[in-house]
Amino acid sequence: MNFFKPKPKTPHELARNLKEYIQKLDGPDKRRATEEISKILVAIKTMLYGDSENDPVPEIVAQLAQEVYSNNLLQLLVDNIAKFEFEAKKDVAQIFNNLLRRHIGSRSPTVEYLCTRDYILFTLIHGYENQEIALNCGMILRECLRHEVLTKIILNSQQVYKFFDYVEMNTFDIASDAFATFKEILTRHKAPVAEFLERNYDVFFEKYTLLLQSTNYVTKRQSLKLLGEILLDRANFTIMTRYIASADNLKLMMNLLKDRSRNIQFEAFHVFKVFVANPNKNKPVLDILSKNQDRLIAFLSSFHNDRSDDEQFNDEKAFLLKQIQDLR
Amino acid sequence: MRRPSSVHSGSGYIPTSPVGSVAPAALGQHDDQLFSNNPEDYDIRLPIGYGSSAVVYNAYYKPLNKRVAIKVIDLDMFERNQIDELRRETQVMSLCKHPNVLRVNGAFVADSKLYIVTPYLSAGSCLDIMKTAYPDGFDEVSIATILKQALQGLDYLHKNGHIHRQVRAGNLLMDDDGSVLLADFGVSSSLMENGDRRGMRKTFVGTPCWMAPEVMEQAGYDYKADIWSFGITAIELATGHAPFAKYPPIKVLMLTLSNDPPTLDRDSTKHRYSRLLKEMIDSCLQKDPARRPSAEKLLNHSFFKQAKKKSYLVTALLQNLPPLEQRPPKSMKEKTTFIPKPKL
Repeated sequence: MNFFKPKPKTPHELARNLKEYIQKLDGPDKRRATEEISKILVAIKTMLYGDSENDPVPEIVAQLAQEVYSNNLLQLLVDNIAKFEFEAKKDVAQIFNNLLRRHIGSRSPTVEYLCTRDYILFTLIHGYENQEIALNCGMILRECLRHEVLTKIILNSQQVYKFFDYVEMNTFDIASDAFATFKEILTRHKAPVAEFLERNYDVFFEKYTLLLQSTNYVTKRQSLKLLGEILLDRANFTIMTRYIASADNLKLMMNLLKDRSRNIQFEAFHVFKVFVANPNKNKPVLDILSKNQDRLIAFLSSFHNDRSDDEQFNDEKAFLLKQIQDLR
Repeated sequence: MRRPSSVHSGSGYIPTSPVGSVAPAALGQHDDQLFSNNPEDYDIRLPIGYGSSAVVYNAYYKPLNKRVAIKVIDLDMFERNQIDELRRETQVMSLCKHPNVLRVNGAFVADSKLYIVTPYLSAGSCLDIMKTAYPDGFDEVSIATILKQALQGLDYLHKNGHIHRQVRAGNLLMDDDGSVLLADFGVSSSLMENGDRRGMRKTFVGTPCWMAPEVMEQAGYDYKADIWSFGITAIELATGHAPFAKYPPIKVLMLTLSNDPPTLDRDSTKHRYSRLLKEMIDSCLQKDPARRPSAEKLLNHSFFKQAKKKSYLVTALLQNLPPLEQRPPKSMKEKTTFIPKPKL
C-alpha cells in the first residue's frame, strides 16, 4: 500500500478544478493555472482511455461525461485551448474526440450537446487562424464531421467559406490539414452536401475557381482532384450537369491540361473527360470543342502516353479521342 | 533564396549519404520556435543528403542567423494520394515535442517543392559517425547511452499514437552536446487517424534490413514493429551494419521470414559486449510482436543501467571527429525496396 499516493480525484472534483483553473488563466498566477490544467487533463484522459494497467470504468466515464456537459467544459476547453501547454492541447483533442464517439444506444450525447451550441464548432473552425492550435482544432473538427447533423450545421453557416482562405495558407501542414477537413465536409455526407451545392452553386464555384487557379501548387492540385470527386459523385448529378454546361469551366480545364505539372495535367484530364463524355453538350461547349478539334486530337494522342499500365486511363483517353473525332 | 538547382553546380563534393541519415544540429532540442514561411528568409547552401524524391540542404535562417537543415521534396514526384501521406507525416512532426525527437521549425510550399525546416544537428547520424570513425561499431557504454535516448523518444511517439517505421542508425541524429534525436518520419504513420487507407498505394517503407516480419507480411502491424527495428539497430551499432546488410532486398525478406531471428554473435565483434546487450536485443527480435516489450518496459531493462549522461558521447565519440561537412563522402548505397502499403 502506498501511503504517499493521493487518492484519485472523482469526476466531479476534476471537472470543478478544471473550471476553476481555467478561470484563473488570465489572473496573476497564470503559470500555476496552466500547469494544473495540464495535470487535470491527463487525469481526465486516463479516465476515458485507461492506461497500461487499467481499463476505463464505464460508470466513472458516464459520471465524467455528465460533469463535462453540465459545466460546459467542452466550450471552456475550446475557448481557452490556445493558452494551454503543448501536450495539454493534444489532450483536449483526445478528450473531445473520445466523448464525441461515446454513445448510449443510438444516442450520441456529445453530438446532441453540440447541436444546440454551434458556436463551439465555429470556434474550432476559427482555430485554423492560429498556428499554435490549428492542428488540434482540425483533429476535433474532423471527428465532429463524422456526424451528419454537425456537418449540416457547418454547411448551413457562412463559416464553411472560411476554408477557401485556410487552404491557401502557406504553412504546409496547416493548409493541408484545412484541406483535409474541407474535403471531409464536401464528401462525407452526400445528401446535405448536394443540397448545399445546389443552393449555393454560384457563390461556391466562384470561390472554387480561384482555388483551381491558385499559385500554390498544393492548393491547385488538391482542389482539382477534389473537384473531380465531387462532380463524379452520383449524389451530385445536378451539380455536375450544371458545371459541365459552362464554356468557361471547359476553357479552364483545357488550360489546366497544359499546366507545367504533370500531376495537374492528369487531374485536369479527369474533369475534362466529363465535359467531352456528356451526351447533351450545349452549343457554347460544342463550339469550343469543335473549334479546337484538330488541336485536341493531336494533344490527346500524345498525352501521358507513358501511362501504359493504367488501363482505365487509356480506355478513357481512347473514348475521348473518338468523341472528339466524331464531332460534327 | 538561392534555387536548389544553382546550388548543385557550385558544390565541390557531394556526399552520397541517404536523406535523413544526415543532418542537422546546432540549435539543440530546445529550439522549437516556428520560423517564417518565406523562402526569401533562407539562404540555402550545399546539399548534405539525398533521397529518392528529396534533397537535404545546409541552410541559414537569415532573421536569426541560425543554421538549419532544409529538406526539399518535389511534390510533383508524388502520386495522387501521397500528398495526404505527406500531410500526416509533417503533422506527426509538428505535434511532437520531446528532447529526443527532431522538431520541425516550419514547412512551406514554393512552386511544386515542399520545404521542411529542422534544426541542423552538427554531429550527423549515428550511421555517419560510425562509417567515418568506428566502422566496426561503438563501445557498449556509448551504445547504451545512444539507445536509451532513442528509446525515450520512441516511447514518446508510441504514447502519442505514432509508429516511426524507420528506426535505424541512419535516423538517429546526434547533436554536438551528445543528444540523440529520432529523425525522418519519412513514412511514419499515425495510428490515431483512421482515414481511408484503401487503394493501391505504393509507399516507400524503407530498407528491409530493419523491417519486422509482420511488416513484410503486410498483415497489419502496430508500434511493436519499431521495437524490432530498434533491436536491429542495436546490432547495427555493435557490428557496424545490420544483420543482412550484404544481401539484396528480396533475400533479406526471405531470410527474415524463414530463419530464426538474427542475434548478436558476441564472439565475432571487435568490442566486447555483455550478455545484457544480447538479452536486450533478443527480447526485441522476437517474431511474435506480442512478445516484444513496449518501449516503456524496455527502458527498464538492466542493459540501460550503464547508460551515461549525454555528454559522455561527446568525449567518447565526437571529440576527434571532423565536422559533418568536412567528412569524406560515403559511398554506401542504400538498398531500398517498394512494397504496397499494408491495409491498416
